[in-house]
Amino acid sequence: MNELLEQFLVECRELVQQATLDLLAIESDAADGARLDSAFRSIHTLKGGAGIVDFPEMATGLHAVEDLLASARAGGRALGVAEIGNCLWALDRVTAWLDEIGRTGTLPVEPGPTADEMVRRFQATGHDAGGQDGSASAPRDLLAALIEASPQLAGQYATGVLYQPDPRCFFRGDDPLALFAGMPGLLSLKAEDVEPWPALAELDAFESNLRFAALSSAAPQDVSRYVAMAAPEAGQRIEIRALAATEPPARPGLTAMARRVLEAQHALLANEDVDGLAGRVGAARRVVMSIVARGIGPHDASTDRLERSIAGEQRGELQAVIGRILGIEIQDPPGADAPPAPPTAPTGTVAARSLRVSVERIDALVNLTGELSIARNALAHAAALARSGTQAASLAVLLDEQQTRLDRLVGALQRSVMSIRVLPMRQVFQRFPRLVRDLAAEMGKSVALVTEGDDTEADKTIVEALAEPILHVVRNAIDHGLETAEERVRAGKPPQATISMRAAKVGDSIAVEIEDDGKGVDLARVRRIAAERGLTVGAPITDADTLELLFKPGFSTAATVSTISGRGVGMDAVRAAVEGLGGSVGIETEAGLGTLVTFTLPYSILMTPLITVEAAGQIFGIPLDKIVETRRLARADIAPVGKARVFVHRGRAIPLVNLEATIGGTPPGSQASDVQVVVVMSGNDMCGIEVDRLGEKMDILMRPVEGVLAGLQGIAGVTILGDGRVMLVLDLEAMLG
Amino acid sequence: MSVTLDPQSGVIVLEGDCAMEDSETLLGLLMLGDQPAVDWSKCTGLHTAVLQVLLAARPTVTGHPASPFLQRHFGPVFQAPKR
Repeated sequence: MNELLEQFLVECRELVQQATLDLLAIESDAADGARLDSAFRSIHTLKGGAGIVDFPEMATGLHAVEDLLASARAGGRALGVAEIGNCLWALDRVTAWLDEIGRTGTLPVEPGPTADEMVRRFQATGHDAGGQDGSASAPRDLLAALIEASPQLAGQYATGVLYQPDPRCFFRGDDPLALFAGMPGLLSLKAEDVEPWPALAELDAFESNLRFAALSSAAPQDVSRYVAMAAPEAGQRIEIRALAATEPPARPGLTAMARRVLEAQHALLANEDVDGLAGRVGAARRVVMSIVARGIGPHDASTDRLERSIAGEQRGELQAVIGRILGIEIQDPPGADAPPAPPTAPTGTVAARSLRVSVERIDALVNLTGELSIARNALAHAAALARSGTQAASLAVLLDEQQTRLDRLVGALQRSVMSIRVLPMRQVFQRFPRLVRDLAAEMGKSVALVTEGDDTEADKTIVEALAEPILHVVRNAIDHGLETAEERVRAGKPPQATISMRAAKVGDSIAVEIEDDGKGVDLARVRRIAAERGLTVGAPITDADTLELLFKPGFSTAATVSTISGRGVGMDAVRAAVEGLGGSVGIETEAGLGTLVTFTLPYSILMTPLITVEAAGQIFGIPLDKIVETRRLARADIAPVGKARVFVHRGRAIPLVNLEATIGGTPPGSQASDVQVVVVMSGNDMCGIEVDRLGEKMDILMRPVEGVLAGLQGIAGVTILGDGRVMLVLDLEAMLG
Repeated sequence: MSVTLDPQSGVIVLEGDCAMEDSETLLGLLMLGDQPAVDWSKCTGLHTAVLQVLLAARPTVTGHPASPFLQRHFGPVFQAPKR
């Protein structure tokens, strides 16, 4: 992928994210003008970027979005839910394009139909503007649309009129058209249907299904006086608003991206002793024309005049023109005069695929590199002493000293590297406002999302891998946990439900909690279903054990399969994902009050504390956090059950695993009177692992399994030991699953 | 009667001031033929109910209405290509 496209992708993703957050903020607070400005700026910059990389379909589609936002800004009106839905839909399409560009490295092959669909959606008005509920805010929309459609009238109108006549008005002898015909200073009039037109055969010609918007140059009080006289019965149904005469929108300045492109072209043209200069000049000219034609050039750069002035193959002239364009101030269009973003605006948005690292962290690494080279020199010195026959005892002192130093430095290096890989949880949390909105709308529920601890940091792998499990829990909450507004009111709760997402660092772990204030898990129902599916046998079980059933594969309490959950992926998948990250999942619930799901995860998965064991001549690592205890077991206490072997541990029968068999060998028939066993636990499952010898405790940097070992079941990773032997780290989740 | 069907051309003609009652006549005529055109060049005024039928049916409208008010605010609506 060329550099321009790469840059385009990074910028676009950030802009899409920003616009999405802005739109969601507008949805919850319609009066937030700063957010509207911000959304507009993002969309406008996206459109400009599309123009520069020569992706006209994206520019066309976004232009339609921009038009809508511009009309909302100009009309000082709030965007309807359906309109915001359309904007988000359009941003989804843009994201799909970006994904395709990221995948293929080139612009999408057939973006046309999608772009057309975008334009159609945004051109449609009222009832067909997305199908949700445009009608509530539609009368206001109509006036804004009229203003937008009448740029030639800018500066002339002083009054806007909205009128939705009573459907029965014709019978009273009203004629709204006649009212407008006589209106003082009438400049423009627009009529549209309130409800979609029925088939002609069903149309009632005597019932009004129209609403009107009009612009007048007369003062609002004059228009009011006229209406009061001419149509006193119009009363409540007519709205007369004073409009500030607006200036035609100023031409936006140069975007940061356009500037970078132009600067690159300017630099290329500076060198005249290159091959293919003519081609370069041609390319540069096309870029300049493309930028200017898309309205992101300087104010005085009329397209025609510019085209004439750079028509020839004159390098110098073209360079001068570019220089002139670059001479204008950088202005990320067109809200340079807009108020600064409110403090609530999310800051520090980071593209998921790139890592932004603070300079301090890089500096710390540079310092460590320096100290490490000093340590290396000290070792070289020790080696020289050894060669010269220095006594072993004094050499040992020196080596010990250096070893301690290296130990400290390597530890510091690992911490530094880990700190580079940490990301704030915001990276995951910020995806959810949009998801919660869409899921709640789909289920017909009203849900507010509250996040806390967005700045809590964790390893990049953990933060990114958390998105799926959290999403699943949120889906479950919205689908099963939360009641509808009516049910909530009946239960004495506020009609809008709340989902809270919290992250906090607790010691060496991070805890992520997802809490809803819904009806809680129906334990009786869980027990009944578990019994039906044969997951439990007979005896009554405790509440805690009942909740544990939710994590069993194949368990789902959904009475009906909805599009949200009930796709056969249950909480068992959530537990598997979180345990795969070295974490654990807990669930608490209280009938009528809600459910709390807690993920506890290591701050970093780079360092894994484990205990080494030896079995069948091979060294294995067992993650320390999974080990319950180690014990010796008399062979007589092991009972064969079919092909497997079990033993009783603290009153519970658990299986005994032989590692040689696990990795595909045949278990040796050892005859020793007792065996060393490591008892491990994953989730609620326990097992004993038979080992020849216990080794030592160590922290390792685990590598993923690659090559010939990749297919091995039950192995989570490998690491190289100090003596060069390869140690396999056991994947207990897989072994016990 | 200011809404009539020209039997020769099959065109619906709006003439003079079209009153509320004419809306039903117009609606009936529009449903009768095979997408008949409407000629409003002799139309000096429309009741809202008649305009509503035109907006709902969106027939091909020919000529410029004699009313400048209608031409200015609704001429372009009916002359624009249909959605």
